[in-house]
Amino acid sequence: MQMNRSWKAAILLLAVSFLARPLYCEDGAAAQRWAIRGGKIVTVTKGAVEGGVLLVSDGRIEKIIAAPASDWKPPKGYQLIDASGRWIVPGFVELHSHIAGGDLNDMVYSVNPGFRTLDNIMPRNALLKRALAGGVTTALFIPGSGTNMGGFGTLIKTAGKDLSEMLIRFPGALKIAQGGNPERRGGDLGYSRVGMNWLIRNALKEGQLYTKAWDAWEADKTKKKPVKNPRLEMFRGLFHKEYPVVVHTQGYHLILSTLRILHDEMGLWVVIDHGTFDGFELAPEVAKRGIQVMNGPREFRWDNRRGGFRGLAYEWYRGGIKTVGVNTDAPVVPAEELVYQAAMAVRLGLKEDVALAGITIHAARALGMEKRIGSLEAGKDADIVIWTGDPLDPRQSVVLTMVNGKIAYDTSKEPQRF
Amino acid sequence: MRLKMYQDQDNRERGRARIVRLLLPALLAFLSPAVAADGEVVAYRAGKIIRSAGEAAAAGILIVRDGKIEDVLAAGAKPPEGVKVVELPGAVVLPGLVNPLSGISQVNFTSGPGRASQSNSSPSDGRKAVGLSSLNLKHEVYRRLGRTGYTTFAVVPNDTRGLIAGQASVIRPALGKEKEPGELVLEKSAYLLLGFSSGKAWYDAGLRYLKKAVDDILKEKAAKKKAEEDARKKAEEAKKKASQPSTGEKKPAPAPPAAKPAAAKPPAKPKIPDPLVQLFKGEKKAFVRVTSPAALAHFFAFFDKLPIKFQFVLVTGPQPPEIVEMLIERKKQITAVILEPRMGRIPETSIYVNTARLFLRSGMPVAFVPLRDTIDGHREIFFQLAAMVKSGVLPHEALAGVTSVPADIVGLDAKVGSLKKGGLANFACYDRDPLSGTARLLSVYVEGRKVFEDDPSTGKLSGEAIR
Repeated sequence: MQMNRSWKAAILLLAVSFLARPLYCEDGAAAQRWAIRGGKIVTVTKGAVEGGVLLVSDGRIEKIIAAPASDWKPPKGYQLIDASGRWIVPGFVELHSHIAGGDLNDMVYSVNPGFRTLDNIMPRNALLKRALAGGVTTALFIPGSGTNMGGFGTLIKTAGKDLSEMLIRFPGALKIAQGGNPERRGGDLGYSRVGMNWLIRNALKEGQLYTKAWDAWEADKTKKKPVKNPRLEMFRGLFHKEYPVVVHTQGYHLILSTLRILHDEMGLWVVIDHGTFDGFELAPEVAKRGIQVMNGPREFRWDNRRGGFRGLAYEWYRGGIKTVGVNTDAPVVPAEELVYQAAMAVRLGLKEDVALAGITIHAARALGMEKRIGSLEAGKDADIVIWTGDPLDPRQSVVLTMVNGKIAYDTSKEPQRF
Repeated sequence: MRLKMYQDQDNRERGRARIVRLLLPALLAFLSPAVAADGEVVAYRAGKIIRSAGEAAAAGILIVRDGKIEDVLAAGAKPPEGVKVVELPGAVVLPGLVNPLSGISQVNFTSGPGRASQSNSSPSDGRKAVGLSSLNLKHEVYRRLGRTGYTTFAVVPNDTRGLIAGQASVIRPALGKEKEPGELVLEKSAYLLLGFSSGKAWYDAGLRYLKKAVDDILKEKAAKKKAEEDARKKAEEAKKKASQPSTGEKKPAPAPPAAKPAAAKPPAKPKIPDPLVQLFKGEKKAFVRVTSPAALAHFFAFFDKLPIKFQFVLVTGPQPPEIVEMLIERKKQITAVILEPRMGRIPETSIYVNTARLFLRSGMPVAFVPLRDTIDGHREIFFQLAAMVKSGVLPHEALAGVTSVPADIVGLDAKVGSLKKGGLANFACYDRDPLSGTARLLSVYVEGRKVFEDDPSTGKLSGEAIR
């Protein structure tokens, strides 16, 4: 009898522990494999799949089963996530973000090619968590625009337990600011555009010469080895086009000098990272050079000549930038509102699919990361966001965010952040 | 729904406004013969018309005559013979939006500061200032107002930051032909705006101004009572005397002195009533702007001391739940709440609270004003409202918050805020559900006149007011 009771208790305990098990566990081998079933899978690059299954293993998208059998069951070792009625969308890519750490404008010198944001990143930053809740999974964390050359930014995922887990690439990009904020209003050098352009050109020339000296030595090591200069070291990758320069440039007059100095003269890989005001008037010129535009955070402009509001992303698109994207300049516009920026672009003329691509695959391509992020395709990073519906509708919200195949935000387990 | 406190109005001022209103259509018709001729009836046929917040969208026909809605017909109905029919295919037609509190009309308006919800600077007294007086028709902002989807604005005077900020005037967007700012006015003095900050200066000034008005009323009442008492006593004495037996022959009364010619004296100017006194008498509406919890505490501390209370519309910011609860307990005093459509955060936490939802669930009407008091801020309103809907405000409540509720609290619900017979033909057309976030504003009509049109197929903008 006694024995019998303890057996009963043991069975009961087992049953209870089984029932109380979470739907999935965050860590361990099992957590690396997911089967996300149902809903609408918006791949961005290859259309949408209704009622399919998305398999995730080892942090990557394994495959998308477009039409699973009615009695389909997840393979052994895969945890099922039921997403019926939801939208499954790639994580958004933000090309202009300042939220991962702060302290980004050291303004003693006008050009600071030695500065880097890598050391400022705080993985537990609350603003990053909100970005996750808005579906943003990749951010280019760049210095501010307080100086003409703020330093080198870092390309990160918005989730990860430490920097090594978050890091995608360092340097992510160089940050140059051509006008507006970096103007030295105290009357110092850099008070006007003529001064600022000299400062930028001067610094880049120095970097170019440094790169050339090293290139020459690499080609022929019998030559005298150049002296290493930590301040200029990161220019080498820049001039080898391993990473772009993201330019705080806006308006017709500034973008003209962006094209002339940074692209035509220096031959750099350029991304226009504001492009606002009447900058879109140069769209054909920008398109001719294959430069990507991430418009924002302003998304519209009052046009005195025509007497109306103009959607800036739409105007860039009309002018020839078919891959135009938007940004938030977070925290200028909160990081989690990146998709609102895209929705606003739609309201002002851009097509829905273009707007969505602008903050996913086109943004990824602008950074040379299109093989890893920006769409839901087999082999890509499992940066997947499950939405209650169309992400361009502000009434919808994120249910679950997965970064590198790990769940980073889940409203069934924590309060909805945004 | 019509709030009780608004039943009594300053009839004299209303009369004046009515004259302006009566003259306005005639004047406009004279000035703009190119538009709908006098008496012309136009039928607008649309696939979806939302006549009033809370009503389902339905296909229908709006019959407009002289800037007013003459009738709203069902989709199948035939418009009257000879009527010009305007097709609005694919449009979702809403009542023109109403902003119950805006500083957008200010003379120094540049990019839009001066919103009444900004911090109060000093406890000054601007009770005589009227929104109308700071209108400057030369500024293009008035012509741009219509392109936002908003067709009615209650504008507060230039100095909006005092303890008594002044009286709000209700205006419509300019059509570009006006000569006088008064032509825009639907109501010269819709309400008195009061503002409170925390601190002793505000507390003292609040007591001083408000108590004085109350004292004036009490004094007036006491004097009236005394006069009545005296009259009663006199009458009693006279009665007593009359009942006493007469002692002799009564002398004939002396002839009254000849009346002086009245025409010699110019008639005295009618005394302008003190709006604060009117407020305590229940003859004037009040909006009270108190943003911080500390200021709310200071305000209610002396408000509770006043011997006469008044009902008011509270203009405030996002509040923590316990403050909202405290305000909900004062439902009898607070008739409605004006909020910006944004979330509040509980201090030192990352818990966000939708203040509007809490008020709405308690049954208090909520009106929404744009986050930025600028043209583009107004254009963005549905975007912000959509975010409110995401966090618990119902779609019809969001819509009511920019149409029927603000119309009601400024006392113009018969004319604006919904599409009903006899109301002004103010409406805005969107290409899809405006709360979808991607909806595009197609056209806006103010008193039957198109002030804005955006043709998505050509990208061409047009409209009377925007050339």
